[in-house]
Amino acid sequence: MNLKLPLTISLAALSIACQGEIALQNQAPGLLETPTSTQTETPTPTPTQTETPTPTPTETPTSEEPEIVYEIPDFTGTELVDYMRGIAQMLVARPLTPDEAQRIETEGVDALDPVLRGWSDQPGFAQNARYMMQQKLKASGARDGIDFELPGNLVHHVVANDLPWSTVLTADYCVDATGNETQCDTGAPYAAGVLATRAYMAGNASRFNLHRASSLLNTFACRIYPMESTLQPYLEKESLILMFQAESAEEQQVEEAKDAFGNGAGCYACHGQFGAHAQLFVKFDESGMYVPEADGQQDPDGELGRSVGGLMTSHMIDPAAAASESAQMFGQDVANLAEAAQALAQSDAFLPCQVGNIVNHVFSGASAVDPRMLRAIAEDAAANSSAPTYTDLVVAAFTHPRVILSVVGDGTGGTP
Amino acid sequence: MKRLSLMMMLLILPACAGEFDMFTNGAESSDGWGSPSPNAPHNPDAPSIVDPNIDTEELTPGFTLQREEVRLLPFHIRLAKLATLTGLATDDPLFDRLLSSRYDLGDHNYGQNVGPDLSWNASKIALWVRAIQPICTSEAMAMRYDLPQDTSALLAAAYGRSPEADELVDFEAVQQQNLDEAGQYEAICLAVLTSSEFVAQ
Repeated sequence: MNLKLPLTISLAALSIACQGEIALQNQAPGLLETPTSTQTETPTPTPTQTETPTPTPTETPTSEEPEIVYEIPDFTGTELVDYMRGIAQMLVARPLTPDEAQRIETEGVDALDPVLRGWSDQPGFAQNARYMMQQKLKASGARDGIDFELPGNLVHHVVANDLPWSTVLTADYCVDATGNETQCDTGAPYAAGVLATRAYMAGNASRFNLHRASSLLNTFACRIYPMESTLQPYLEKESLILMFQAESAEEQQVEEAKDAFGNGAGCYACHGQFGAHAQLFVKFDESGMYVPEADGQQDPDGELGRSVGGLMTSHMIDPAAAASESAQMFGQDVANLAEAAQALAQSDAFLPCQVGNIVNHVFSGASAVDPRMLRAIAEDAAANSSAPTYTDLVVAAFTHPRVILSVVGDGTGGTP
Repeated sequence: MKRLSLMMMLLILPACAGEFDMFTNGAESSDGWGSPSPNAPHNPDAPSIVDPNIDTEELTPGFTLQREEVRLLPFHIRLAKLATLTGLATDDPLFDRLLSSRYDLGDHNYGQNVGPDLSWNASKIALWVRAIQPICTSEAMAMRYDLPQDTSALLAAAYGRSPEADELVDFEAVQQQNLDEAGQYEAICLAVLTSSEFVAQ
């Protein structure tokens, strides 16, 4: 975060220009390494984790964890003004106003809460939450008649109307471009916030529904497979198709899976959990449409992991289970994606992960994020509201002394 | 390959000759038991209360912040800041050139397989300068900022802080250049709106 920088970039521009011609528009801008088009999907069946690191809590919270009371340093008014100047840009898309700066300078940390809350009704606030989630879900624009803005519309609506943040997962409606509630576009007999949209489904379509499952897990629980079994218990090994039962190369009985796709031979270690979540998507085809008659069976003439009609193969060996949307979310039996989204939103993993997403959005260079801090911030937000809003999470995050200390000075608690 | 405009060349040539140096300067718990509050008054003489469920420890940073790499603000934020600066809506025709280059300048459209690119490099700098040039020569800017005579208002609006004396000295140097008033206006405007403090996180 540049708190105050000289005009070196302009100098750089000029010095480069001195070398003669400048190539304009000669750089592929932000071309995605992995196209979201299902026609060019990567052949690897196991999801890879290549995006900007998200704070992934590695410790399982326990109720016996002692509470930590910090000795709070005295942040100076100037430090706090610089701190909030960087945050303002990312949260409300403008510099700090002179009045805000004056208030922070005068009142110190006491001013942070009211200033942050004062931003919540400004247009840039909801717009930036929308941007954050569009990056997480990789959903914006349009393609093949699919409105990739639907998830972003809902996020904007949730923030602009100060609804509980969990509504992004649990809303039983979608929101159109004008901000009005509308039916979602998958044709499913239910809605599930941003998840039950063609944008999410088509943008994350892949064999065995692995990308859909892993994106859900990464965005809303900040986990990757495999995760702690106390959060997501393993499915019975015998309930999975043969290739995913293997825990070693010797155990692999399926010829096509013997090369292990480059991801190792211990299939069950990940797919014993993948299966619980991938099953939620078995009735959505690669264009995101709901197909009630989908049965999750492998297309005998198709690529491994693909069922017929643009659908994906189930992890489940029992035909009835393979055709059913019933699954598990964090140990809870759920009938479909809507129930899974509810369970996810109520889980202990949800709020700390959302705090982590917000911190990472505002401080995009943040690394080594302490999961204990994220949990503490989430607890602060939940202590003030039974259903924290985006604003509640923002206020709890950016008033937290450990967040401030990470940014002011040289970020070590010392001075630069 | 495209060449820079004449105006940029006017800016660049003195810089090449080393005469254009304007850019070189460059608690305790609030309730005793609950979560820590940064606002809680600290009384070092107060008796300590020992509770086995509470660990008292020195505050440590909760994450490490990468400070070396310049990372652009997302495109929509840069656009919003320009709109605020000019007092225009983001869909004003003045921003047409900027919007026509939005994906080359780092905006995203996942439907078209384009993710955000927030790197700041030579080609993007040049493209940005070209895209904001209409803004710097616009009536909207001229109405709001009295350049080159008074750069303070533009700097304050762009950065959200009062400029420091040495920064103003940098800009005064522009007036010593062999540029007419319009050229000086444009040079200062382009410099401010291309500075990392304006475009970067």
